[in-house]
Amino acid sequence: MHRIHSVAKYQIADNRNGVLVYYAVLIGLALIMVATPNWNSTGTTSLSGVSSMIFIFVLGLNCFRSSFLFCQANNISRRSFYFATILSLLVLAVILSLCDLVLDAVLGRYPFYEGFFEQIYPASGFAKILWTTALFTFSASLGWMITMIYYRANPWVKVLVSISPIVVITLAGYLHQRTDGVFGYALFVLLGKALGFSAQGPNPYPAMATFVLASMAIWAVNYLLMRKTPVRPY
Amino acid sequence: MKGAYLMSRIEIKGLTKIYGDTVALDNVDLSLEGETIYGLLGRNGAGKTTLLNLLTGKTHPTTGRVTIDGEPVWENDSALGNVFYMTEPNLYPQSLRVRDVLKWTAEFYPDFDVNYADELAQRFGLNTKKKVKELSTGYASIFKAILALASGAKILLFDEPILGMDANHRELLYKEILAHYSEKPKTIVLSTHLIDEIADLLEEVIIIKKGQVILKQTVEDLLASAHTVSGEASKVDSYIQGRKCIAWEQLHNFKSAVIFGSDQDRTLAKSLDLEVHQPELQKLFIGLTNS
Repeated sequence: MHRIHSVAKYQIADNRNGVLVYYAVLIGLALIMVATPNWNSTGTTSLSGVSSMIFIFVLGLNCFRSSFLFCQANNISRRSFYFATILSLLVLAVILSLCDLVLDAVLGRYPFYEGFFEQIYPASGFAKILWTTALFTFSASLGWMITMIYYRANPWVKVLVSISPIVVITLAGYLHQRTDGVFGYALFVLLGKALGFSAQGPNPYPAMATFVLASMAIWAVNYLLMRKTPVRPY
Repeated sequence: MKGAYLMSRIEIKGLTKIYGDTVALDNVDLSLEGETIYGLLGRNGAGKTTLLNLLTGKTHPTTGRVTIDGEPVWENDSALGNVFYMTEPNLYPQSLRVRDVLKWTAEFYPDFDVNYADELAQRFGLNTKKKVKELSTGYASIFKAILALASGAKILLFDEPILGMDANHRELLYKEILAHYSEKPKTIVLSTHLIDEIADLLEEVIIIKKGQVILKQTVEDLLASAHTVSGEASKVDSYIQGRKCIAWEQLHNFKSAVIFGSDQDRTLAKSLDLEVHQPELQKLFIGLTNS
């Protein structure tokens, strides 16, 4: 347990500067928006949400190799590293969602600004923190899984993984066409349900459950990838 | 009798590692007692690094198991935490400063001695403000050796610890290892090709050849079991007949040979007017691994 805590502490510290720079940029942009007269008078702008989701995805992409090798240099088991990585990504997701909450609360006073969550769901406060934390956890875990697949894979599998999004999109388009739009509609309905969109209006809680379950599924895959991961030095 | 400061026994049973068609380690049984300095010797590709990697769970064995004080090492933090393995490749974050690595290593090894690490850094002239990627090969080795010595671990494994170091630094490191061992006896395994330089440090040698342990013996016993004879080639030739000669060199009519034999053999060699002396560890190693 001591080693899990130490590794998580290291991983969080390792990302500290990145998070500080990211929010410094967001605050800079916010100041420009506030200082510019009639900023976006026709609609609303959001700084948080999508950009933070992409940012934490990148953190997930960068969370593995260097940290794993450092742990191996210190004889830390793969299992401890695995749990520490989950812990650190969870902490980073909470930190980012709290920072976004503060940013949205401050900028929400201006008519041109509406937070990403508020643009989708009517709820706010606690539900927003839970939703953004779940989304960021999913995004970070996805980044972690991709980087692990690339680390483990041989060149052929790397190519296969790289072209897989194109294959999936092409296949989906083909199925959509073959089924006269039924496939696309079914997918749309499924995604809508997974994200809590129903006739009664949008609800963030099903989306939270979806993100949590998807994150757990990714962690299960990552556990299998982690089990006998070889040490590949720089 | 060995003291009880940091006893740790490593037990290796039926350890085999196969990479594709290559048997890197073949059914190795070995036991390393606590408070001893071992030399792990072998030619390139003999399986030394594979063995060290298996001892620390860096790689998974094909068959067999490794235990430290009865606990299996694979994915076991309590066993792994007793070991510091100075790997030949640099596994440290390249953009981290040396002083930050020292700080974080202290986080992972609770007995890490920061003051001792700073003192060693000063003695070796290691600039702790430098980033890991800015270190030369020699200083990268010094940096890793300092981490190992200051780690406070019960077992220290060094894989090619003197890579890129100049003679002064190598000498300083050997002295430091010895001083450290005298003060805090522990299990130390040194794997290096510069056998002559570390010969005086070693208490026991483990020689690996083609994935198999061919010898594990105290240096004292090994050196006592062999002798070098030199003199006129014909006399040496007649002396080595029927004896276990593992190496020989000849220059014109002068020949010298390394032979495994008893005190009686030495006496006989002297009576034949041959010069008899103790062989160097490196000579014995070459003989044993060439034959």
